[in-house]
Amino acid sequence: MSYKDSPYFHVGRASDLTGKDRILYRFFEMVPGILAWGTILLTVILSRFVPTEAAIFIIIFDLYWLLKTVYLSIHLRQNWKRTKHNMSLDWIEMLKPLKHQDLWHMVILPFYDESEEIITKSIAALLKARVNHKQMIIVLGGEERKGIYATEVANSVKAKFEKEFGHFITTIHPKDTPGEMPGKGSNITYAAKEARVKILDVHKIAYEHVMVSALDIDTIVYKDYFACVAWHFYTAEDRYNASYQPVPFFNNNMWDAPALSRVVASSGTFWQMVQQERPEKLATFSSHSIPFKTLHDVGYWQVNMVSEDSRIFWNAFVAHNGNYRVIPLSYPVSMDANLASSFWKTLINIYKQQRRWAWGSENVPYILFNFIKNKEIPLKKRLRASFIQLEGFWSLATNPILIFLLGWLPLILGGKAFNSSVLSYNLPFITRNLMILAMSGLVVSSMIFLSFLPERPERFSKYRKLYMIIQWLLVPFTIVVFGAFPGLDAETRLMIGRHLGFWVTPKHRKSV
Amino acid sequence: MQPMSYRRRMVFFISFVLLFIVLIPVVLLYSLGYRLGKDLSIAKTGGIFISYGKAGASIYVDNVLKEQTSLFQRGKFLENMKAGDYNVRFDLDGYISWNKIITVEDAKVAEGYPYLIKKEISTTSILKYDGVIEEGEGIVNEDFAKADALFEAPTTTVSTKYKIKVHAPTSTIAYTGSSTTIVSAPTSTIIATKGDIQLLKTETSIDAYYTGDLNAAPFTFCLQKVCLNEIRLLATSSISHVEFLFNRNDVILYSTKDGIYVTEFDARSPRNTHKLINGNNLDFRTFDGTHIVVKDGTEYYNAEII
Repeated sequence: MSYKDSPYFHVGRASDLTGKDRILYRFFEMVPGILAWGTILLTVILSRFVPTEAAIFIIIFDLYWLLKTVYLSIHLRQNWKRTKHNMSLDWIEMLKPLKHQDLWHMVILPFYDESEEIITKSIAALLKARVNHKQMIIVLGGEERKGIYATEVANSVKAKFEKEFGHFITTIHPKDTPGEMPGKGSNITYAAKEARVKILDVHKIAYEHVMVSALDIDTIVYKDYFACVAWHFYTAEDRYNASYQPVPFFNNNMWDAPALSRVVASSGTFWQMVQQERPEKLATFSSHSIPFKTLHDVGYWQVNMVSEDSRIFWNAFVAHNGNYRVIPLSYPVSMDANLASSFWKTLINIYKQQRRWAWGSENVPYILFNFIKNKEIPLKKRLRASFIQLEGFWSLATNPILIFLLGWLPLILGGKAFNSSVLSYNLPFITRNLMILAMSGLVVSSMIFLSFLPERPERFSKYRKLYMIIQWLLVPFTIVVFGAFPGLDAETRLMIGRHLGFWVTPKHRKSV
Repeated sequence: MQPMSYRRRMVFFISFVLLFIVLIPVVLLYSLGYRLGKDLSIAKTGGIFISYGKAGASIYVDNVLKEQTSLFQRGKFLENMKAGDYNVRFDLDGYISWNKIITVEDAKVAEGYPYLIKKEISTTSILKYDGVIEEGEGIVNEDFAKADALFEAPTTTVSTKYKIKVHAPTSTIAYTGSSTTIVSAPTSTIIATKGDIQLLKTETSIDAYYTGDLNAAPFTFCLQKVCLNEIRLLATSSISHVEFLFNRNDVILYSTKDGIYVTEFDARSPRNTHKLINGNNLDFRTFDGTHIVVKDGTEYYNAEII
């Protein structure tokens, strides 16, 4: 029996299991929260009772953070060069020597309540892509929960575009399906299954010849995205044992979005760019591509959890006994930065979106649990992947808090004896100076940001570009408020069993 | 263009790990006050922290200018100081210098909170009447009325009995060479309160009583690692009025039969005490955070002292 047939393979949460398995999974759900809160509480306790040791820990941690920042910025810069390079290549030309004519691109576009304009723009971008559109299958997936709106919009868009593509179908994901959580995962899985039955099987298209791109509805593909995916697919070893990950830009409405939103969105892009240079740490994120054969083999995206985009990677990883990877494309797709009708709504949306992304920590119990159950995965891979995931979510929720908030705690709680020590006077100076050094890397960030910025719309002053540089001073604030806090929020919810549902990020563009 | 090779990334990674390992002791030793001497020996140092609310003041250590307070940094940390006694002087043009012998210990920071009083104290009479007075009648000056009200307001006369607490991490208490003494617990009157510090008047003295946690007691309540709730500030019964100096809770103004004085809690030598105004049986009240109103018999005048 293959591991994908085991009852653990598509587990969504502890309550899906019974007996000892349930207890173990529940414990693993608590691990990210325990680690995060444990670190914060330990820092508070140390600061109160052994402030000298706490101060030493904080200084070492500051140093670690500085070096980590420099180390990651080297990767960022490298990926920036590579992404720029890849955007300049003629991927169609590169594909010519490869036998790629059989490849079909299935594009799944799930939507909920987004406007027809946003959907139209995304599909129009597909038409601009340099690819044989007659070899494309467009699957526009609406939600029955939105009632007649979903059907009307889907039909309207289909009427506009169906003749342009090889196949164009619309699907309406039924509401209240037992065992499913409403959200993107259940929608795109339904859409993919419908496409299989109605298109692939009917037209006898081999699953091996289909590359699926699950794109968020606001995704604008760059002109050679599909050619780039195809080239990587045909040149990869074990091509079916890989997912293909573009760099997510959030450029669609970058000029309209407020500074906080721009910084948070771009920080997300930079993190993905760093990970593109460290593919062994990369999991699929947001819009991504995967061979249909692989997708079908692993049972499609999970329908009973929120973070289906990264979970599909872990599903494939455990199904293939660790012989599965993400191939970084270093080629962008563009999505929307958070923008709502008011500044405060935008801030709330940023927070909620970041919390949903941080809810990816629900993969931690899945990984740890299945790594115990599937002993066919090499131990080294299991240990390494577990550490990377735990360290990642621990860092997200704690590092900014340790650096920017708790670094001062020994001075506040340490008492008179500590406060009269040289260490207590040096702590803020050392911390501040290390942080200034670390923040100097933001110059690199701002340059990279500017290099990918879309052309300035005429309605904006040329001085607005200056804000695009100054905005990076917000990073200490954004990584705490829109990084660590939602991270801690998500991990705490997972720890206490208050699971998040899928929250659809509202799409709002002033310039559509 | 290929991604960074795994080998190259490992080189970076190991380099950064090595750098981290090398930097940890360097940064930690520096933070703990260790400094490299001229003979390449590592020596432990201490420091002095001087805090003052105005910019432009100069800090001299053993008559050598070390630092100046600025708009953005009014507290100055003098570091890299070997253990020993230092003569610290704090100067600001137009003000009486503040001097203190401050003892620096290894890995410790001694504190100093100077207060500065104008060298030339300008006084302005507060006339009772506005305009020309004819036959002793006229409209009473508003400022005079305010001054009158200041002196009519009753001072706090709550009696309290208190216990002296002694927080002594070490068992030995030595008070040689200090005017600070442990006091007994007679009945006293609270005459002023600022934050968690009360000024108490007994029959023979003016004392300061710290009501907060002794673990966080100001250094002026501690001597040789022993902190007390109470310190004796003035051992005299001839004091007619005492108040904190404006926003300070470690400096007091007081009046005696021969004038108005200012002094600090800090008992380290020399104790900075100055006579502000000469005069017999003067009374005063602090006003507006910058000046005092002095009562001389039936007359009032303002004195700008800081």
